[in-house]
Amino acid sequence: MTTTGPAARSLELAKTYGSGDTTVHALAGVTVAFDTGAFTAIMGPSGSGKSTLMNVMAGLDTATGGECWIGDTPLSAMKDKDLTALRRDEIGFIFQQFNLLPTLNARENITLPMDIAGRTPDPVWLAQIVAAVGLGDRLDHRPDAMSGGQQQRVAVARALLAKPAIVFADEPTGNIDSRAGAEVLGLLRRCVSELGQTVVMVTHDPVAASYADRVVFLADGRLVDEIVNPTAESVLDEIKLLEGVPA
Amino acid sequence: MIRVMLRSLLVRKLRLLLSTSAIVLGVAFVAGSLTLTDTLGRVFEDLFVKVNAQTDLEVRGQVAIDGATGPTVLRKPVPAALLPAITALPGVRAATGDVSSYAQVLRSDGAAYETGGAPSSGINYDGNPATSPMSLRQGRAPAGSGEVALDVTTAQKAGLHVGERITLLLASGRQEALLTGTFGLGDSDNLGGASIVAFEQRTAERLLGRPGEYDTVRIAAADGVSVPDLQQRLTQQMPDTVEIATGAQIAAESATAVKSGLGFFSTLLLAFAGVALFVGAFLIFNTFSILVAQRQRELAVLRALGASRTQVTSSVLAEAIVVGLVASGIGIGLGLLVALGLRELVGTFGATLPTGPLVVSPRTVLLSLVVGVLITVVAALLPAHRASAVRPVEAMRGAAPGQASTGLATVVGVLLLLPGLGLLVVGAGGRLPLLAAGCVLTVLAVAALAPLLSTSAARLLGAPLTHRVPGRLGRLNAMRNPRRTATTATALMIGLAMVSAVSVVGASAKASFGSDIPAALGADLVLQLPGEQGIPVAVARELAALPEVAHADGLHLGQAKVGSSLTNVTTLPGPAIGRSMVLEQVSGDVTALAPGRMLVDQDEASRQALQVGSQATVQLPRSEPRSYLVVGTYRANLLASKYLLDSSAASGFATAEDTVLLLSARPGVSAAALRESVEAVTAALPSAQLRNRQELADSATSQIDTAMAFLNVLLLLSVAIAVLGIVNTLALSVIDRTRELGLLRAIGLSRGQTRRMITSEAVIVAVFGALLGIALGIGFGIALQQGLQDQGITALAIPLGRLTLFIAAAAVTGVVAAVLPARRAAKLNVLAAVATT
Repeated sequence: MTTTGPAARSLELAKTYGSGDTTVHALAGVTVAFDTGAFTAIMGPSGSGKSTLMNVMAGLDTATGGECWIGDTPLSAMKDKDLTALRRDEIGFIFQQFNLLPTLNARENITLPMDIAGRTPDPVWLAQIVAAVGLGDRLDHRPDAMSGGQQQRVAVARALLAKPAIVFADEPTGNIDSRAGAEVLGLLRRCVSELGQTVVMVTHDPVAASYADRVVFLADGRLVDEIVNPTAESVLDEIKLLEGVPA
Repeated sequence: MIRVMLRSLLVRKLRLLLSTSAIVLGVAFVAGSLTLTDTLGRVFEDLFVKVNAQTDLEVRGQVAIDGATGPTVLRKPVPAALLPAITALPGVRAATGDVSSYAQVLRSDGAAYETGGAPSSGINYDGNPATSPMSLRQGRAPAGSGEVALDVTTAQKAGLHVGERITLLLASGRQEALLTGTFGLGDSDNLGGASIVAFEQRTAERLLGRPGEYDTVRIAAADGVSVPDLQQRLTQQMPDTVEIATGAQIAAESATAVKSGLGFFSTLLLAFAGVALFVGAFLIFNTFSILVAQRQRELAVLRALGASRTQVTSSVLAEAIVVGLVASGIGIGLGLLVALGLRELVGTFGATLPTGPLVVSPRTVLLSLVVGVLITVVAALLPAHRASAVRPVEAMRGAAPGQASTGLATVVGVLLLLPGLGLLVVGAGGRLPLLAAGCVLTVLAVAALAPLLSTSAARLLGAPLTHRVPGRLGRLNAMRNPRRTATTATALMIGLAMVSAVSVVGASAKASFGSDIPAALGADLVLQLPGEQGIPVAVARELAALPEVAHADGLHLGQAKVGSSLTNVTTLPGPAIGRSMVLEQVSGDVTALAPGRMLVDQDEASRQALQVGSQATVQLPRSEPRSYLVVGTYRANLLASKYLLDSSAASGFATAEDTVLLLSARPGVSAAALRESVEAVTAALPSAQLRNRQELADSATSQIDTAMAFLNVLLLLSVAIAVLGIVNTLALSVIDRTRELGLLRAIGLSRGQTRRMITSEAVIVAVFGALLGIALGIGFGIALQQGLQDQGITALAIPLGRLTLFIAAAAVTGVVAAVLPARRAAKLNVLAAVATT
């Protein structure tokens, strides 16, 4: 990506489920931009649409209104085949759990998206990433021989390897203990600061959000607020505010 | 617990559907086989009752060869002189002397009317309503020497009409006659596919019978006379050379004979149904194993809530019973279609089976249900046991399904393998039941041991696929669960082992016959009529007199009693050995055959403890037992039976005509010239089969091809069930791996790549199964060939090209089996798949 604009953005993005009386507006017109080289957290109470926003913008789900872009590429008109290629080449994913293929070892899991694309990873870059995530001695292990934190770090390495335009992380620390979680979050932070990677993370944990450069808040499918350079305290205050609890 | 089971059954009904279909197909085959045999049995039973309905009593000769049994056994004739005495007996209303012989009907276009194996007979027309089973349908009864009547079906199918002149081929030669009428037998138009031409009584006796002899005499008792009383009186008054039987007794004897013939047919079909069910059992086993593994969480919760191990086991077994019952029920229904299909199939391979309403006996229904349910339950036993072994604590952990150890299966496998191989080796010595047992044990052993092989096999077989990611992932998936892969492959293995064994035996038989027949035939041409009918003496004489023919040696094949055993013997002129029939001499002098002397096949000689110089007692149907001197032994020969006698003994057979004529050309006469002049004579016998060495070998090999094709069609069902097994396993694996598939799709695996991944796994599993099956099949085939050596399969041939084709076919099968599961995997909603817990 040679563009200097945001890595991903959306305009009046809408997603509704059902029809008539039972219509649910998961996204009710969200306009947001995720800056290149920045670490953005998406927060909001349950049902606020934060996961839907991520899924749609990452090409996993389709919008029912509005538009979103990865770089300058609009997603709404893309067929499954093109979306698949886009995910493969331009987007990195880190899920809450079950990130790795049980039949592949750590190294094979890391290179899987590039293997799928039929490309050979740059060995220098691979070594650099492996060193960054601190897994040098466990590369030949299968996922079932690794801890949850180690598995998530492998997932981070996999997301980074293809130098994607943007990495989407969905509650990456939701399923591991706090110490392992801190390691993963620190790793994501360094990816942004030292490697210039763009990362967007969905989380409900104020501490996790505090690692980001910016936090955007969703409620009822709308963008309601944002905090730049957040701390755990400022995020928590904002959440209390959104939930109607006096600060 | 039952409610929980039923609920889970309904929820998983789609998943069970495929495995159920294996039982449905197997049970349908069982029910179809039984129904077809019952139906045919009933048809024949009705027919015999009808045919014998008018016969109160029958006078027939004693069995010609002592100790021979069964209704088709050769009997001594009834002296014609007895008829007046019988007719004059008080209580006898009417009596008719019957004669019958070969009579081929020519169709309106001049070709022989083919009966598809049923007899072509000429008989006497019985116009006496008191004794006759015949009912005139059209025209009138034949009255003079130039008149005949035909059964309704034959007249119709041969395109012959009442009032026309028709042509018949009798043993004595061609005969023209006026067709005066058609008749039925009772209310049926035909007797089991046979063509029957009826002559006026005197004419029949002259053309078909032997002077002064009847085959049988049929008697109608006068009104008010007790049949048993009459039977008793007749028995007292008739000479010892005849016996008196009631019509019901004869009908029962005939029906029993047909049924025992059908019994073999039924056993053959049931054997194939058994193979299909055996394969189905693997499918059920695999399905229940996978379902139990998928439900581990649920089962653990049940256990945590207080369900006992027994309750968990019972719930799985109850599920199996319900599945078995439903599948068997559907299978029985489908069985009716299978019965009709089998009848068509047999028809395709050349035999005509009579038609009649399907007979579904309670035994068929009960047996099918029991077999279907039993197989399902037995196959579910081990998975049920594993289900009960799930510990309650696993509900909390949500641990990944553990890999059960393969230790016990390995021990069982090794324990089965040794006796299995032992039986194969012993059975290859000629004891076929042991051989069959060896095959079954070996298959079970390999099935138990297959999980040990499956990981390395999948690694090896998948190696060519690893240059692309889908192939690499498919290979890993085939390697990840050795037992699942092995069981799926094993199902295919069984079918292919059978198909391969049939191929090896068939190729060996073709190789043996293809080389042994030409080697054994010294003559240039072989003349035969279908169904070992006699060659008219006039034709044989005419052929021998042709200037192009150097020798015309007649062979007469027939039944005889040698020592204490009933067997086939062949008579031929002594000088024919060497010039017409080439024998490989083992001991003595095979050219020394002369009146009072005999030659014996060396295998038979050692079985009967005969050697050169021994005396053996031989009884032919029309001669007293006589002692023969063994002057030589020979290696088993496809043209000769186990015993060879000089032609002078042939007068002891029931018929005068030879069954085979071996013709050699005079020096300087070309093969074409010989053939041309011979064909000019045999033109009178349109069904005559005139063959040279190559054609004789070809006709033997083409019969083998037909038999192989028939067996392969029956085995196809097992292979089809195994393919369903692959579909089923893949479909369940796709469900198992939903999240994984979602992940792969999320990080960029395209739909096409997903499909190729599933297809790769299917191909690896299918080829693994095929290789195991072909390896076993080659082993079984070699053992069978060894065991069948004295049946003439002396050469071993392994059809490598054909077997290689099976591997390719298995790979294609894998691709086909993967279509639906792969489509399903490719269509998974990525988001939903990732979200699945």
